[in-house]
Amino acid sequence: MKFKSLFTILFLIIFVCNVLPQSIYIYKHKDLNFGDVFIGYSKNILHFNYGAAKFSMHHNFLKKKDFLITFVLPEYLLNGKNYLPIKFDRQNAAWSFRDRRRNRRRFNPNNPLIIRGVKQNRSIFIWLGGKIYAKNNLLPGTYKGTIILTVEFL
Amino acid sequence: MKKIFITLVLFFVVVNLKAQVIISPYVVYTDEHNKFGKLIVQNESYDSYEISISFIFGYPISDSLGNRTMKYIKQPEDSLPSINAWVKAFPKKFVLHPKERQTVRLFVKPPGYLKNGTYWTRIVTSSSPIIKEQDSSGNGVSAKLRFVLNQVTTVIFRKGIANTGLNISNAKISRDSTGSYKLLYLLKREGNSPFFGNFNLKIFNSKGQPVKDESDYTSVYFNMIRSYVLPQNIFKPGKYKAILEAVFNEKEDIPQSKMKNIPNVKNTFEFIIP
Repeated sequence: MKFKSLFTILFLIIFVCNVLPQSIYIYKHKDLNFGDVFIGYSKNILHFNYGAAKFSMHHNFLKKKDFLITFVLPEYLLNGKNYLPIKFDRQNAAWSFRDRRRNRRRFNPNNPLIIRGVKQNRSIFIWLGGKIYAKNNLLPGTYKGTIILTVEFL
Repeated sequence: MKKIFITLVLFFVVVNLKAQVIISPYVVYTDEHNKFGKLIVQNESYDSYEISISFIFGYPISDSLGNRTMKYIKQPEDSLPSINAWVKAFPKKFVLHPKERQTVRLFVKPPGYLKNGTYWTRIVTSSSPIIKEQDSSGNGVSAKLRFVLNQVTTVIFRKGIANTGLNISNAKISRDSTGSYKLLYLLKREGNSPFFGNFNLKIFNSKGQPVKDESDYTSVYFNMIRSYVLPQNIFKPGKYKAILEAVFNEKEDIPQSKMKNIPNVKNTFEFIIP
């Protein structure tokens, strides 16, 4: 009896603390990380490589919703007046309803991604890599850029 | 009993972990009597975030095959039901420290000449974490990518008597590039407001057995084509009957809605997969 009461109290505390508004919930698990790149070499981070960015999202509306996910991707990373080209294609991006490497669906991150009929609290996982090539005449340093991820219901 | 409690506890803990910046409500409602709305932005993470609020007018559109996307218009014409030019947000830019929340006040100042109906715009809430700069490139090259996350929600303004309706017509099937068939419907919005509702599709084979039962929530702002994929492994050659029913349910997104309920709209369509 005591055990049951304890669980009831624990459940109520957690429930009250977690009355979440109806919304889209987005979480960035990992940044896109190329690490150090040697001048004269390229680096291609595929969606399943360690350096790929990882996001997850879900909604808590009662009915199924269609997600529209759009990336605005840079063409260059900048270091003062110097620039480093960056590319993204189908090798670099994938999504899945499960957090695993198997059965991911690749997509071109340069185009909008539509995921239809997503049930309440069902997570969508997205991985994003990219490709850079550090030309021989590139100056050493940190090259910076911005990726914009837009998430909305369709 | 114990298992149920453990599952529920774990469920809530897991759900709570998956949130960084949360925006609510999904639709901010304003009307003639209440021109103020509020949007709550919560930072559930352990990092500080820079938040900015902006507006852009847009609505879902589709092509002739029912492929949908959003159409955004930076400078909407007066003929469009946009409130972009007369909605203001306070504050528009702010920093949210860990576990903080900020209420953003929205104020709508409509012009006097508006006709009855529903007007709207999209709220773009941009968030990016504040990170201390570190240079770790040494003699090589390092790449640093900053992520900005945009969450798009809606603010609507309603003037006078708002009404809506839906007409479902032109049902047909079309074959796509993968060899699967698609069921297409033309959805014509009626009245002076968007139609928000549940769309329930049921398909029966020639023996009357159900082969597809799908339900979702869709917004029809203007006329559009709605498509449903009929997968090859389920839809073998034969005769089928599809019943699409649209149930007006604006309160799912807008609990404050005062719009009158309208009868369900139904379309029955018989087709053959060759």
